[in-house]
Amino acid sequence: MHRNLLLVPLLCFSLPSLAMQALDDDSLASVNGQSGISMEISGGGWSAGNVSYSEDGKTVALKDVSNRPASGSTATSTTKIDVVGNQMVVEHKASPQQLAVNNIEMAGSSKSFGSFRAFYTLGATLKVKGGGASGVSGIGLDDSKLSLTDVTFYYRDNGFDLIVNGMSFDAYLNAAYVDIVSGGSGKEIKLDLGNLRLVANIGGISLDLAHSDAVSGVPATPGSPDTRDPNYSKSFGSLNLDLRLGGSLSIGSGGASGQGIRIRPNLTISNSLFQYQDEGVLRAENFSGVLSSTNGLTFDLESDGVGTYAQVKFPDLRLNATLGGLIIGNASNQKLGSLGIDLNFLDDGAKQNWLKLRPGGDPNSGLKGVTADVSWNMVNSSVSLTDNGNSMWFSGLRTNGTGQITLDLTKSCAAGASTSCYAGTQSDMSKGNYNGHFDGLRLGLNNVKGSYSFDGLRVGTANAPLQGGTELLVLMEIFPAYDFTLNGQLTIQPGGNVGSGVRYNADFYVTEARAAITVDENGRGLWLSGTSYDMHFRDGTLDIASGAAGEKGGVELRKGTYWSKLDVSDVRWGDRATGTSLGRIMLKRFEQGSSLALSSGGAGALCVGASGGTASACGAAGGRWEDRGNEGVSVKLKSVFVRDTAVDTAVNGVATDEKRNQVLWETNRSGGNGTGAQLVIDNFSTSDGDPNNPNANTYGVNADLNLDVAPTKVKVKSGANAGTNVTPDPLGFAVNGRITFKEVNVDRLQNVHPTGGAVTAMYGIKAQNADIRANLTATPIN
Amino acid sequence: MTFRRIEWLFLWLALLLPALAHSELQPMADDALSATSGQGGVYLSGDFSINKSGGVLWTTPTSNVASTWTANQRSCATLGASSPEDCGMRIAIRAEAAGGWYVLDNMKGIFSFDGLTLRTRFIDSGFNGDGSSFNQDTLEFGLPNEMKFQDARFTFAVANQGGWRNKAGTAANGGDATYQQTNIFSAKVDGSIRMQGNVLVFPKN
Repeated sequence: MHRNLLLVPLLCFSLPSLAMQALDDDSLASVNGQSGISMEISGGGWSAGNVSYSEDGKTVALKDVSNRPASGSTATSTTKIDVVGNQMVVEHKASPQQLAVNNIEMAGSSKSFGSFRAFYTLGATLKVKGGGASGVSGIGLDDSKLSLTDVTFYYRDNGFDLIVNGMSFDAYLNAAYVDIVSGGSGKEIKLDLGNLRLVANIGGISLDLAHSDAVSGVPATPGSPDTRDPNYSKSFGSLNLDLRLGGSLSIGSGGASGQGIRIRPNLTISNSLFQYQDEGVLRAENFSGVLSSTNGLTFDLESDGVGTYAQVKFPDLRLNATLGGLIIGNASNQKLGSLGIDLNFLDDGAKQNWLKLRPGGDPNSGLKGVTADVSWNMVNSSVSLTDNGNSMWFSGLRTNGTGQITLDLTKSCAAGASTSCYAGTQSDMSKGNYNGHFDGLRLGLNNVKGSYSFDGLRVGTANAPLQGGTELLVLMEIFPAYDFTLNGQLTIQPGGNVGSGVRYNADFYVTEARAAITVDENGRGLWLSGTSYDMHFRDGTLDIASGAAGEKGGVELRKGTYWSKLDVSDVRWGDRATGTSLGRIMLKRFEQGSSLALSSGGAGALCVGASGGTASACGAAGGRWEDRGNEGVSVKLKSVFVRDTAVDTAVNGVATDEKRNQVLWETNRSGGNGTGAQLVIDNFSTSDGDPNNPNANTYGVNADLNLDVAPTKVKVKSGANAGTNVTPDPLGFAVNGRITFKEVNVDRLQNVHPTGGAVTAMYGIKAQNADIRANLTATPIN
Repeated sequence: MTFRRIEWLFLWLALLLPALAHSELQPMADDALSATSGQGGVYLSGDFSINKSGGVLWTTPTSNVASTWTANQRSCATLGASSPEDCGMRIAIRAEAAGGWYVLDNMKGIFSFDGLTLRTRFIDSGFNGDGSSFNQDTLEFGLPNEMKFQDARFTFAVANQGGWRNKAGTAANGGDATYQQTNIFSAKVDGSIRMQGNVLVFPKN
């Protein structure tokens, strides 16, 4: 019996084998259907009133979802399925289509995230075969390609549109596999990326702040844009990415609590290109790194007393990236070298990493928009700079904090009241307490309480001894340590000073801040304690410029009209909270036309300790010639201080105008600010010093900094060998600084007694024709 | 009146500077060194210069004849010198309402050093027993053993205007015939200065 059963399969195989003979040419010509299956679908698309996702009793719903032809009433798509070799080949081509979601809502909330539409053309060649990464189970996707072209994305918030156009994505999958493996709360899908190449382009991002549609009920399309907004054609710039990805991405079930989704990235990036293009470029020609998380990122729907929110948590996340061959500004510039970041997010007790997304943005910008409660904790991270093969680490970077960020598209009422504009209760934009909205994409900052600190610099190797040197960056307001509470807003619009770029208006209020000027590893140093810092920017711009002929270009931040008040309650020595205080320092600034520019390429070769343009001339003049190579970073700060022409308000004889340049030092306070003795440098300003045009004021005070990592001469400071040179020359953080101004004027210097009032000690100070250079290299103390 | 102003000014500076900074130029004893905490300091080497190649307001003219200078030209060559020379920085202070100006003119020079250190230092011992009662943080500037001065100079003057004007120039060239400046003295320093020890800076209530 058993023997007869064994014969059955053999019999089955023997039957078809009878027909497996070679076909002759005549027979072959008469065979149909050797090219697989071809499906051609045409129709008007599809729509759904509601698509919702629920977990643990909470729901996020997409309302009025539809996918329709991008134009006309009929969309066509062709799908061919064939078997080639051991792969099933699916080729898909479709005509342009439009995906629309009318509203994204959280159940139980009257607010929403807004709506979006996306125009796209989808094409794919999927080559599927059995056997995943192990070659046994799973699916192989070797030699597949996905492409999304001619993509235009519209996000609408309160009737205003954010438009991303000229987008395309092409993914080339090589040695990619999909497997089901153990993970999450059971099994998870693991996508092995193999050698994935992802080419992505964004042609431009623009805003349309003309409310709703040009023709009621007829939304704009890529072919017929809404041209009512005079700035509709301006762009933030374009972006190109060519990424080579490897590693894996696992998607499992189970969130941080209960149901949810868990994604565990373990991605590697190698030999990739990143390029942002404005008039100039910001390009990393060799971009590589790792993005990984052991516990993964969880996505959950949760609720609290405020309402339901979508939560993203990541108990650990590591981003390690090296931007090699970095060029900033003119494409022909010297390279910066490479910039490395190693960021480690790690939960530590109450210091956690999460993002809670809530529907609706700023309370004054309607019912739509995005609010995000954020919490972050980054430990033991670093930023490194490599210049001509010499590296330097800003080591031991730690930061943590919490706060709320809102994101909205907003419009001011400056051009007259219009739908969805917001004037605020103080509608004068030139005032620091203006609380209406500006035109653009508004980032609101509410009670962002955070801190950061660096352990110090390491030069040469990642485990070289810690040294100081971050003090040399204080001029750029980069402090070695900073605790702060930040409120305010930043509103950006496309179009920079020239062409593409960013225009911005901003108000920042930093309170309860403590900043270190210099600090050691025990937290002892020189601290600006009990600091408040109000900053106001009007009509500023941010560009990547290519520069005029002979110039480097670079990142150019123009501050427009800028005024600020930095009030340091105590300049403390030692401990940040209890150290002995020098007193109170207050700095008020009023600037017009100030800027900050950053470009690649450092100091190059220079003469230290003498004047001389060549090594021999420098040596002959008694100096030392130092060649710091062709890479590095250059920073240019320009501050144009404007003279206040009249005193509008005064207290005890001291002008208290909001827009005025003033330095105040107060000591011996008996009961808070204003109760001590003060020294006031009042109404300082810059001038071009032109006798024929005394009001000209465009040059300002210029600070040029070249930052390099370079060897220098160092002498042993103490011990038996004191005074001898350290050999070989150690590497240091080299800062070549130059401060120039044509003329700086101070109206008066006052001495102020709390009851006796102000006495003028000097009736004018004038400094002219300055070119002050400091060429310093910071190394550890030997 | 003017002299009273000057006296007052110097008195004021004399009072202010000690309040700002108490300098201790004593060599550190071993026990004082051992009480030093904080190794995260910084060693700076390099140079510091003022107008080593002239400034940005005035360019150097081709001759020392002031009447030929254009609006942005000035030569600071000494009287009778044959070739023009670029100018240093100028600072003017007016101590009296509607009064004249004290001027430090043509300030320039190169100061180079190896080994200026900066760190914070907590002192609670040493200094012949004063350290323990002092018990305070200081900002320590470790002086370089040697500082080289190259062509460091300045001129002290008085003038009737804060900004320099070309007395001999035409109005179109920014000249002002009413401008008066009297140079009182000039100084020039070349060579090396030995600077040993530390400067400790701390607030004092």
